[in-house]
Amino acid sequence: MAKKIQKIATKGDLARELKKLDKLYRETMLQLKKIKIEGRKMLEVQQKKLDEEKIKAILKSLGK
Amino acid sequence: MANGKNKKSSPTGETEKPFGLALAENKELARLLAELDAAPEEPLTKQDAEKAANIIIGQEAAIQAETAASNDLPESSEAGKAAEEITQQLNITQQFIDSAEDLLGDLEDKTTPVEPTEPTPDSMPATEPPAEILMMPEINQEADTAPGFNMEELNALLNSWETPGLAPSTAYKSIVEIFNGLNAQRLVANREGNKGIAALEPSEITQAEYEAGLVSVEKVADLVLTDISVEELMRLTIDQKKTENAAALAETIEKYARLSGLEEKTVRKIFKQQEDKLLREAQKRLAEGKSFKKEAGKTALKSAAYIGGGIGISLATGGLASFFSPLAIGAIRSADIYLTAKKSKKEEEAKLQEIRRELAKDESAKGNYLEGLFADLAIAKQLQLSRGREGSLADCLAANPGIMGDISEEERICNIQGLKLLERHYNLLQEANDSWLDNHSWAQKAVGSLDKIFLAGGGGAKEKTVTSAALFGIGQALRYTKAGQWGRRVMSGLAGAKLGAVGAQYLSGKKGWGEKIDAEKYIVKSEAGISDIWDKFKELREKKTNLDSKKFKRNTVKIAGIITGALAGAALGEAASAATHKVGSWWQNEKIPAIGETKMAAAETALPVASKIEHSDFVPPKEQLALATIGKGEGIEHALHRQLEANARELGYTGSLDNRSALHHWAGIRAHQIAIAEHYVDPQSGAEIRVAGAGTGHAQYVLDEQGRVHEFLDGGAVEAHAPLTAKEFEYVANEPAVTTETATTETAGAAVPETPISGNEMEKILSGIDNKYPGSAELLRNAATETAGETAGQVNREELAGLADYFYHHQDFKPSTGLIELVSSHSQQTEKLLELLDHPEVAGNAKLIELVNANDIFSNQKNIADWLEVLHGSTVGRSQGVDASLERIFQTNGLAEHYRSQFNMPDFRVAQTHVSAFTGDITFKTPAPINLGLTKGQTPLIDWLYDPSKNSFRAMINFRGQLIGENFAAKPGESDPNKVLARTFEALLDKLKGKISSK
Repeated sequence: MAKKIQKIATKGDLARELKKLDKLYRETMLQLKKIKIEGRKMLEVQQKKLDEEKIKAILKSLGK
Repeated sequence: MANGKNKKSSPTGETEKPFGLALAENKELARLLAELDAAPEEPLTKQDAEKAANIIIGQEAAIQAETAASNDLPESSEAGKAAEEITQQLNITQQFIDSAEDLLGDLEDKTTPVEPTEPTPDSMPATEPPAEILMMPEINQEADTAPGFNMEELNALLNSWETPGLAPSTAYKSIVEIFNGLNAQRLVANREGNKGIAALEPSEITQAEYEAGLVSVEKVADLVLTDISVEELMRLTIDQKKTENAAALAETIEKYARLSGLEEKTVRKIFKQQEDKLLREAQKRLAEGKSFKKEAGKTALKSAAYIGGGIGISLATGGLASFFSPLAIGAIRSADIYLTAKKSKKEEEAKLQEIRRELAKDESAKGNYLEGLFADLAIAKQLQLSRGREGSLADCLAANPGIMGDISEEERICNIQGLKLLERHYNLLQEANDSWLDNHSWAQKAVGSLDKIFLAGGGGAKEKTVTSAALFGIGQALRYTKAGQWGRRVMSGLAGAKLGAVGAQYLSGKKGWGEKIDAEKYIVKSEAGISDIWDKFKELREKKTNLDSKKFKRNTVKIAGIITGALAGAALGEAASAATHKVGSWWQNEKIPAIGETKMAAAETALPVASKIEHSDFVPPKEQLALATIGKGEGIEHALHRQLEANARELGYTGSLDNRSALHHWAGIRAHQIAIAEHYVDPQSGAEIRVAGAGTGHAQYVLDEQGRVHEFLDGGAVEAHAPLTAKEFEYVANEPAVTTETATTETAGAAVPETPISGNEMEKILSGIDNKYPGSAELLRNAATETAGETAGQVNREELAGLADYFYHHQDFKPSTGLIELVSSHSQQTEKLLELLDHPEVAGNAKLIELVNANDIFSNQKNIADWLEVLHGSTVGRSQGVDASLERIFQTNGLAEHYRSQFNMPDFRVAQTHVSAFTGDITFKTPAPINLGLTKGQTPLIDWLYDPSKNSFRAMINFRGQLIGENFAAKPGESDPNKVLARTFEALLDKLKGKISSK
């Protein structure tokens, strides 16, 4: 759960909270991107396997 | 001046990314933090809180977009780990959202409101705005350290810029490759003498920003916002029509143009857009009673996305950015406007009053306005610079021979010449279109609606018609990519896109057919103007055939990659044009010949005719020629009717001439009889010859004393008709159905009744297309019966060697023919388009975010509801248009196969839920082997991916290929997959019914 926000009364308070949130934003974004890329790579490996199978099948169908 | 290679650090210590969202958010945040840190002890103001809120809202949206993208990864066994991580990640996302919402809530509660100065509603004072509204002071200090073009980041971005679940993009890879090599050279080549930047002093937009294709909103704002207040700007914007503002507005526009290096007309358009936007916001505001706050946040988000999208698209198309840019970017900004901002003058005035009041007291609205204005200016600048870069792409290739690898000089020259020709192609077309659009403001707005076309969004019937046209176009376009024709298509495609949009506007009832025909003529003319270029292109291609094939192939693929991106969008547009014709004709129950059809019709007139009559010696009197001339909106029988009335006695009327009513009645009957006898009308089928717009005022159907018809055009005799065959100034309406084997497709599973009309209509289109692109009709017909397996079987041995990189070689140079050919499926282009549109940094994605986040299969119901509404429309033709559109898109985009392979579940079956275009009945198809062929008259409303091992429907995909729901598991004891499907779909329908009835 999110941490309780401290009282915001001054500009300094807001700046502090914004910095905290921005840090969290960047961390979250980085992790999301990382996962996306990793997932993407895994998919590519799978795709490659599928492609290889497809080639074999086509070759077979062509009587090679 | 900084060369821009330095990274700029944000206040939070992170390296700022030169793209879209991250850029704008960070800058906003940096500015705000700088302000806050300057006086940390001061009480928080309302403005501070609102700015912070906007930033947080933007961050939330970005996180949600990224989460949605990650969440698209499949959860098949091998990628299970990734899926788990995604689930985990969703929690992390939620943590951020919670924190953000918490802070937003706190801001709402704990701000110290600052009373805004309250100007009287109608006399908004032209005072200098508060500094924080101008948002500019920091920019100057940043000028020398502006973010540069970082190749590493670009690569990382492009590499990761693939929507999970979609195939790797050839174009992106090619572009990355090319840009890697080109970058160094480009930096030098672009430094001097580029027309795009010529109007600017180097200090105004840094070389680095230009080279990076990066023109930030802030930077443009910095340039143009010098000595005019926001209030004054807004006043001018809102009251552009007032004559007393003309001088001040003109001066402002002139100044902005001068400072930004944009053309005045461009700036003028942008101001017009702001006016529309303000009106729209006012309407929304008045309707919903909401503050501008959230809107401001969204606008900021959008602004960033537009810029990011512009850059991305520019890169993705390898400098041929404007193929996409006018379609996807330039148009988007004004997309929402034209269909929503139509109000009566009186209402508008009232809104203006209201908006003045609102703006006067709502500081964030001012910020919003500025964001919009500057974003549009920045986009315009970006486009301008992109165009400038295009000219240098071929030059860069020429100046950097190493890029193309180890190839002969001759090959290299061929490559460069080809690219240059393409560029010339494009420039000519662009000029022609711009020029035409300049003279047709309504068409500009129609073009602006293109994003709705692409996004297949909701809205009224008009939009849906537009959408159907475009969808039809997508399907059509991606099929008739006959080898060797692509360059021509790129050219005419863009024309078609614009024409399609023009047609869309036309369809919405704003203009008459006459305007449309003008547009056609214009486009045809522009096409003819570049035919010489195309001829040279062909020569070049033949020359290439003789070159060393292997090396050439390798290097040509790169070029093909560049072009492919552009091709998809352009071809889409071309077919959108054709589709607009079709849908338009159905809509109006009238048909105007499309480009290309004219020739076809003319050719048909050469057929031998049994009933042909001689009229070489028939010379009608002038008065009768006048009576026989077809007027606007008239048919042939009108002309006959007039002549019969005027010459009743001579033509056999025996009644009293004084009885006008009886005479009129007789003439009507007789005219119809003659029309039948002369084969203008077929009473059996209802088909008839009608006069097209081109014939209006020119075509004459003169009766002789025997009651035979002689045809004249402007007084000159023309050859007589073959029965029911149109001349070039005519067309055949309500043609009888002809069931043709080639156009009939098969769907595995239950037999579905054949729908007679669309087959013939489709054949007509096919013939038209074939006339224009010989051989393409065969491709289309073959496509209609292709299955996934058959498609694969068509891949010849030569390509097999490259199949490991199957998608990469989809676009390939074939040494045997000397053609760059798109082999087998064209799904990649579709994917490319979808990737662009779906990318978080492309503007349209804002809509997708909403869909995904709703986490509900019904979140996309509006689209479906809209379509259902169309399908149930009173005009059969409209339904046919939709039907044909969907038929094509599913046939051609290979979505089913694509999803199947991506989910790594070879057993997936596509279960298609059809909606009859004619009865509205919904038919469930038993999950069947994948078969992309559909049966005419049936509309695949939604596709389902069925996983037999789990007896569940893995995914539901709408007509656009969007995933609109996942994992519909069977209930305990529910063994029949059809029941799962039926239950889910019926629930959906129930909701839809509610929605439709509440409209």
